Amino acid sequence: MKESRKKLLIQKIYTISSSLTKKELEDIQKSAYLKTELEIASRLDASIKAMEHEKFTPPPGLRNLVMRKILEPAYKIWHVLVVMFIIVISPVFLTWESEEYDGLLEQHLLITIFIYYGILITLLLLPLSYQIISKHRKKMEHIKDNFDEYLDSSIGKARNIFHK
Amino acid sequence: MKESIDFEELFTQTQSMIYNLGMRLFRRNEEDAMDFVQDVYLQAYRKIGTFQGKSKPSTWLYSLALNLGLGKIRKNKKNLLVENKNSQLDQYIAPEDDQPDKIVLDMLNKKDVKEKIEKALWELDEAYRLPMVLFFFEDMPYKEIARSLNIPEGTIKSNVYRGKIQLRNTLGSEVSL
Repeated sequence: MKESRKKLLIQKIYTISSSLTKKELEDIQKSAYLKTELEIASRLDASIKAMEHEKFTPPPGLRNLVMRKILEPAYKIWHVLVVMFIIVISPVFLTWESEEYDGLLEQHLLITIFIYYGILITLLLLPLSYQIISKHRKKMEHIKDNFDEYLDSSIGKARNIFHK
Repeated sequence: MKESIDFEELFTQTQSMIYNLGMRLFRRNEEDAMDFVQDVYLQAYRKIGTFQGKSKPSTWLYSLALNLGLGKIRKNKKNLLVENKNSQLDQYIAPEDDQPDKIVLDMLNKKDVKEKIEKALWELDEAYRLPMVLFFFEDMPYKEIARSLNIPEGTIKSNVYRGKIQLRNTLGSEVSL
């Protein structure tokens, strides 16, 4: 047998022996050396396939890690700080800019009311938002999908009406 | 029609399967496997509303996990390049006299051969090991492995060939030690 033929057969034996043709198998059977290589390759394949697929036990803390990641709020702390800053500071700028309030109410009183309500609302909104975002994160993620579905069904209904 | 899945129950049923998939894909690195598992379940939680019920929930999750894992591996493609190009272990050297190699065949008959092969498999270059893991454990054909890893099919076949030759030669060298 030519060297190039032998080399090709060896490559096929060790790559995908199931693709060997009848002629190639006949050639292999004629050579004790190739027969042995085919057996070696088959036994290697069988040993690898027989390896246990699930031999590792997940660590005990895995569930908590996964759930913590899933229930992590969608916002970061800096988002909250920026929102608070806007809520608290913007009334100050509004009242400074606006001349309409002059004479109607004491400037300091108005600013104090704004800041007070700003902080109060923020403190109420924070736990509420956390609850909504972490518990209903799945629903919020699918707002886009739900909206697309709504659009598709509306278009479908409109089409049906039009064709009637 | 979309089917609903109990996420907690899905997690309980599949955590071992996904964790072991992570260990296989990421070379038994526990940290990488844990990161992988968290990412899988996070993505599953986000996409749970898209489950159509055409397959079992565990099958759906497994497919999602495998795609995610292969995506991560694809990003770090340099791992799939052969590191030790000058190694002789992955070269097949035909005997001059064409005599069958009884030594390696005898090694395969020994009781502890499975442990030796397993150890050698995990020590292979990533470029050889990964296509073999995908082929043997995930039942992926070479064409699909090539598409998933964005590597030519010929390269995949060549790497599997060299990986098996390296395993073969490792068994042969065990005798001479």
